[in-house]
Amino acid sequence: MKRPSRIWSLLLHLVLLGWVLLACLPFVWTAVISLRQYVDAFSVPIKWLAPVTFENYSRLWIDKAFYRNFLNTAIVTFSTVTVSLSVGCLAGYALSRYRGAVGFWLLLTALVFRSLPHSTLLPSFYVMFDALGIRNEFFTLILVLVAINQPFTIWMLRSFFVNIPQELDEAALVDGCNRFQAFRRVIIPVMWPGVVTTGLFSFLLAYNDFLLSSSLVNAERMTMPAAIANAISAGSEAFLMQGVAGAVSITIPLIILVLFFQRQIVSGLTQGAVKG
Amino acid sequence: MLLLLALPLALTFYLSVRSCALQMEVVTVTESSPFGTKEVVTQRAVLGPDGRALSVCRFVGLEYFRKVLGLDADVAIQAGSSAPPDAGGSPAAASPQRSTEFIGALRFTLLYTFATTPFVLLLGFALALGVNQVGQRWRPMYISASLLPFIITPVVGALAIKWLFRDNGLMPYFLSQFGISLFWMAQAWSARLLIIFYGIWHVVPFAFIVFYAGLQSVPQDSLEAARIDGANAWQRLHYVTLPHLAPLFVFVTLIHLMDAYRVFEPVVVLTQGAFTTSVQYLTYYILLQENNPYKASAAAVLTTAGIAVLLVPLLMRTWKEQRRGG
Amino acid sequence: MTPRILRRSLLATSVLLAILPGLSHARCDNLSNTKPGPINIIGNTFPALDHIAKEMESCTRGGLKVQYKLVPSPQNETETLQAFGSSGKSAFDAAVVSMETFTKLQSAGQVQSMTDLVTKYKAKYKIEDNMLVKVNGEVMAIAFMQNAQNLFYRKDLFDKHGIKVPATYADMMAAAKTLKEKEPGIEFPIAQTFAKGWDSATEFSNIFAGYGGRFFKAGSAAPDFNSEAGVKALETMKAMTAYMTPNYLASGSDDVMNQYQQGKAAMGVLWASRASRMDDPTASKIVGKMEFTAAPAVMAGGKSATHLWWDGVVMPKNLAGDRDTVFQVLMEALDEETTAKGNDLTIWVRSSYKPTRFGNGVAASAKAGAPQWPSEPYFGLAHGEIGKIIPDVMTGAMTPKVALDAAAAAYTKAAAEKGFLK
Repeated sequence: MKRPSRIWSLLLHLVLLGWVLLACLPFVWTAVISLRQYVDAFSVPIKWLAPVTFENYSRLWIDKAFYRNFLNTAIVTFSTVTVSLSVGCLAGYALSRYRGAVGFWLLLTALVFRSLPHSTLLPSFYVMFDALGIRNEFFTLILVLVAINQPFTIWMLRSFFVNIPQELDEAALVDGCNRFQAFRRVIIPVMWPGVVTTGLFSFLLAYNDFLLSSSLVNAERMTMPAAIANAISAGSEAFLMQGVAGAVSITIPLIILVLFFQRQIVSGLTQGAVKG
Repeated sequence: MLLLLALPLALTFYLSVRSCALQMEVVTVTESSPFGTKEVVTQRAVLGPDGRALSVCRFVGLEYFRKVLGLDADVAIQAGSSAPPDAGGSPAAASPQRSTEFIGALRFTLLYTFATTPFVLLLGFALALGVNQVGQRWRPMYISASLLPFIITPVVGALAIKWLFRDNGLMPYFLSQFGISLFWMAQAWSARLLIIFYGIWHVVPFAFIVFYAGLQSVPQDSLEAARIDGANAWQRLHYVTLPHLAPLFVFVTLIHLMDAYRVFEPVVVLTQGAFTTSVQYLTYYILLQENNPYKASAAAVLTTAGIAVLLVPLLMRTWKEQRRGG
Repeated sequence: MTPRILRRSLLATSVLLAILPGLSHARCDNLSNTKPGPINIIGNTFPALDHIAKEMESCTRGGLKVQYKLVPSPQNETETLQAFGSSGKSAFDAAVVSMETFTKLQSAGQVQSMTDLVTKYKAKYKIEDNMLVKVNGEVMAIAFMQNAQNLFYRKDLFDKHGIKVPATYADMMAAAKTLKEKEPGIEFPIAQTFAKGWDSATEFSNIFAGYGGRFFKAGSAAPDFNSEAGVKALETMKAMTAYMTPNYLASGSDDVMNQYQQGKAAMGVLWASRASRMDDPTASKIVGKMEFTAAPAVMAGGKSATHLWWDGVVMPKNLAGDRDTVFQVLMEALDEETTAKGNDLTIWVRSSYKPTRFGNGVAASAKAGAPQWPSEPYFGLAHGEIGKIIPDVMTGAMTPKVALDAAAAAYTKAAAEKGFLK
């Protein structure tokens, strides 16, 4: 490819940096004010430099036991992703071996379920789970999160699997593996980036869920987004600052995740949905 | 699993055509509180033999649907502002949050959806092109940084934007340096603009990453052939790259349409529905604030109908392609 | 370690562990006849409740586990109504509710009487008569904190410009005019919770009551708030907006507080429970400068235009747990020790509460004749409908009479839906 000129390159970097600034500004500003006391954080006029304090974080993590919420999020997210991927891989693989209309109907189902507003299901969930007495359980929340995202996960994985030529299966079968072994030994390693990508989407959906998490579980079992949403609408600006600290705390793992997995995301997308 | 979703849906449909109310009777009671005692004429539910209130449930058919759609003539405002909200966005005539405002909510939701989509596609594509041009060592940084608005928890993202744009916040301060003084949440057009900004900010990274991945898979030999044939960068883009990426545009549009239709967090966090009710927020509001699961179910059913209507043309197109492509 | 030493050290450790809890006073120590199991309580996210929840966290005696779920007000009401009204057992054993929510629960017959439990434990927990909320003689709730919206004003600025403490809304607006002209840096002197919806409807209710307005026709649920008094109330509110930030339709309690704390606004009627935050240096730039008094009346010599509120605990009829245990836990949480420890967090009902200057406003308002918040179960519907039309009136899109008539019509529909009107 022709090398772009120096000026052009510089301009490009400038523009990209401009976008990066815009993209990160809200979060960076939130992080900055999370290290301040309320009177400085929301000061009128804006204070550019203010004394730094970590008390919002200590109050949040220790006093309000945010570490419990963190653990809850970990449990819910990990379980959701695991179940989603397991079921998704198997179902996606099975479905990928059937050509034709299956693809379309699956896509349709996936889209229908994905487009459903969660608030639509909320009143029914309330009533159903209360009657069954399983409302405040991790199990319930995980089940709901998996169910809502499953069609999409299956569809995504299927489109990855479709791109793996059937010959690969055949070769493995010829070599003496049964279907399941073929799946595990041959397909999965090839599919890994696709699985990672789908896993990440699943992860994000479970981690960031707010509406369902805040309604279906109680104080002790609340996940992080639900916990800080409470802190923020609370009747005291002291809680507000902890909410700010919480907002930052929630985002840090996501940033780390993205830094680690950004290459897989790109290659996964390139392989799978992009081609399909 | 399908059952888990089909059942509530069925229940929602069932609820939307019914209404339950407690049977009330007028009573005179003596009330005592920290502020004193007094006699009050009030109403209280009739209690059944088990000590629980008697509930009267009846089939109301399309009554709630009509209410939510604002077709209920009695509730229409006589003089002053005419029913659904401002057409041109004039601040004074902006309708407040009303339970009959499904049309208004739909209007805003569609505005949001169709206003954000072109920008998302354009900016996402431009970004992808841009990042594709820079050297390999810079890319991880740009990619990671660009992805942030998309992966951030929507609640957190909306809050971050709120804290930037609030009264006397960073952005109004910055704008006031240029002589623009604006209270973002105070009038219809700026509140809507703010939510649209949020939408674009939030979704561009998704478009970007999909297009970027697509750019990686553009067949190099086609590009080479085009170059050999004398095509310049613009023509290469137009004749080789874009056609290759066309299905991706459709994909991103589809996903974005579905997500934009469900816009919720920014409405809750930034404006609490003022001037900017969305369909999902309406259902949530009716359920939680008005405490009417029946009316909320009616709104939910209408919401679902709306998305079906929206998706049908795109799905038909996908089906035709599927048939063609096999 | 040899087995003997191991055993001895284990013994020593277990003895120590057995004694240690007794050394520190854990809650629930003197509860009697408790049934083990979790006790779930739902409440609002007020600082006082946060304090109570923390106090009760150490209650683990005899297999008891007390869990508080603190959520923002609207959610609190929704979840409580859901739980108490469900056909199965309630998901919560008790709820901390505002009197507004209590009214709804009580009228639907979902709250159980606690009269016998009060009698049984009255001496033990020093339950005061003042704390009892009774309906026809039966104790249906135990109130522990009270609140009202009263006047906050910057005494230093008032003194500086020789302004008297406003006794009426007209006085308040005159004071605002003076400050706006004469005090640099105060562009919008009045800050009040005019946020669309609940907040502005509450403002209306306060001012409307000040004009002597009646919400409903005597003895029925038919609306009467679209009367002359209603129009006057809306006009007063509209006149005030001239002195408020243009963003007043988004000003909730937090925003109003921020305006006070940053020294941007100098007066307004706000919740007494927020008063103590004015003096926290980590939150406020105006420490010690804000004073509190009765909410202004709307006409000279009229009663204070505000309402008195209480928050209390209730138990559902469809209680899942053991009512004796739950009641004891609740009373333990609200005993004198908790009140003393959290004295400054709110205005407690208990007589052992030592009033701080932050509680002045409530006492003054009560003395100046402020009524209690309406307790009709259909009031909430009217309140909701009024809150919807207020933004239109404030921005001039609708005239007050038209808007109130529309709200009355909408309310009539809603009340008929719920069975209050035939």
